[in-house]
Amino acid sequence: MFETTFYEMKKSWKRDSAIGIAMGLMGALMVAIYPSFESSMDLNELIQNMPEAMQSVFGASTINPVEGFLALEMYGIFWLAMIGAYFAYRAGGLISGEIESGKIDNTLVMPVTRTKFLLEKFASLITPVITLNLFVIILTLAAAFAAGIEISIQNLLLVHLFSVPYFFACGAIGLLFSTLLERESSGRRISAGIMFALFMVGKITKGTDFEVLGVLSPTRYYDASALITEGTISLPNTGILIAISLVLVAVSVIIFRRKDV
Amino acid sequence: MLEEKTLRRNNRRQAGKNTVISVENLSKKFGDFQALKNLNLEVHQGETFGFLGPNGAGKTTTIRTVLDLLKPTEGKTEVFGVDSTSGDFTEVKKRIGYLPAELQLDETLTCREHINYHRNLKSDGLAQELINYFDVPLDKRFKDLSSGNRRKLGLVLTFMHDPDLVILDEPATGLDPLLQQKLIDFLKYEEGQNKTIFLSSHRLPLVKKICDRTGILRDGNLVRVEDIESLTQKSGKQVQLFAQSQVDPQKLNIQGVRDLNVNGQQARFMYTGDQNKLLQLLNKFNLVDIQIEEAPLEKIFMRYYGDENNV
Repeated sequence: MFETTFYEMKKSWKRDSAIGIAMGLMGALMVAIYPSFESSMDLNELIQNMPEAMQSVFGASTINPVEGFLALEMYGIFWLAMIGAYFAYRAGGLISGEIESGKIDNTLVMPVTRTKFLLEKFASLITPVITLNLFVIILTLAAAFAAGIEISIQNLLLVHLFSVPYFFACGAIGLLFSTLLERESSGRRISAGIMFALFMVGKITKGTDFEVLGVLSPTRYYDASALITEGTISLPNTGILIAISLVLVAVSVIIFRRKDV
Repeated sequence: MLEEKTLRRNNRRQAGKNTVISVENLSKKFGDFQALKNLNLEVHQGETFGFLGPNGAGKTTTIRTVLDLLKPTEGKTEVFGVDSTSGDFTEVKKRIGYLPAELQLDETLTCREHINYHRNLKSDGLAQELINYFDVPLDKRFKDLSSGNRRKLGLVLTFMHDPDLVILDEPATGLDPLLQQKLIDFLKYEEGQNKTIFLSSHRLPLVKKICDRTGILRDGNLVRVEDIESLTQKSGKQVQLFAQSQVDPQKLNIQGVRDLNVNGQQARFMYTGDQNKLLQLLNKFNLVDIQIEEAPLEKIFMRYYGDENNV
């Protein structure tokens, strides 16, 4: 059970840890520079002067203490769009990469079904999910503690906890393209591009006449800014993210089972 | 030697006529390209079957379809009586070992880690013996392995679960002569254990050394299936000699010599027939140097199968 997942984890944990540490350092840096921003300008005024659509992109209507600053500088865009796109990019090579390199021959001739192989490959995304979340939580808290800044641990944990279904949904988009496309590089780039486009559509159309366009975007169902600033939980949205993942993985399984590898 | 081989083969045939691999009316297309055309083939338990053909003939496509890595366009393949595309094939895969033509594994993991992954997915009864026999550098990363060591690791992964059927795609590629001999000895041992071996090659010598029957594939067509003795008789030798004086072509005009090419003191020809007569023929010349090699597979195809199949 989970032989392929563990095999994949073994391959990627160092790289994933490095990315997690880099993101964690970014979180720590944001916390560390927060006091100087707070004293130099009125961030609330800055946000409120933005057009409504842009306020929505940043996801924070008010900058109230450090959580609001983190929402503005990190969780509102970078965490949601860049890391989301990274998961799509990463998953975009899960199957196409194996096929293109020929490594898949070696695995699929063993007593393992294609369905199990695909599910275990998808499950291996748990490594970057864990390392990213863990390092960002630890390093952000460490920076806040060192700088003597009060931060809501509960909200910080919530924003990371609810990122798990979001990142898997982003990964599921990548997985679908990795079964559809023949080349790893195409699978990765197209998945990341689509994920980023979905983020923009999901955010910019919010509250406009085109809001309906955003319903397919996973970013619509994970409000990182609301979680970090107010701790607002939406279980229905989490359910939708899980449903998106399940549907995309199921379609990927159907395609992969019929495919020449 | 030949008699011993015939006897061994007949014994095995009597021991079991069970079909291990069955290919029925198999066709495979990639877009407009027809890679396999209505292929029919049976490989029986205990036999060593050589699948011969030049590069691009469709050998790997056939193997990969048998293993359910490719889906047939038409027809079907069965292994141990189970359709390769059926759900039950996963169970059958426990009894199959496969060595691809070029082993591709994750570059960053060591041989030990790759073997452990396989160990977790299938049994590993023979792993340690094979590691010792082929002398695999366990703690080297895959990216640091020479082509020979990659082949050794591939052989361990192929045989470690003691499979009943072994499929080897160009097994001699990347092996030095010493390791080739080791592989041949090992395959002969496996033959003795009533294992079924299906190997593809574009090189005749290896096939002649270990196979009982051969299937000859060209441009996606199975041109012929025949016993190895028959193929050996047809294949002949390629002879190249360098004499001390001008070579008289008339001296070489005997039965069995063909494709004669004389150039001053040098002569090159193909010879099919009694080997003793070849030696008598060569004795007519005062030789400086001589090379006698197996006939290239392409020459055999052109001579025996080219016209009748129009391929």
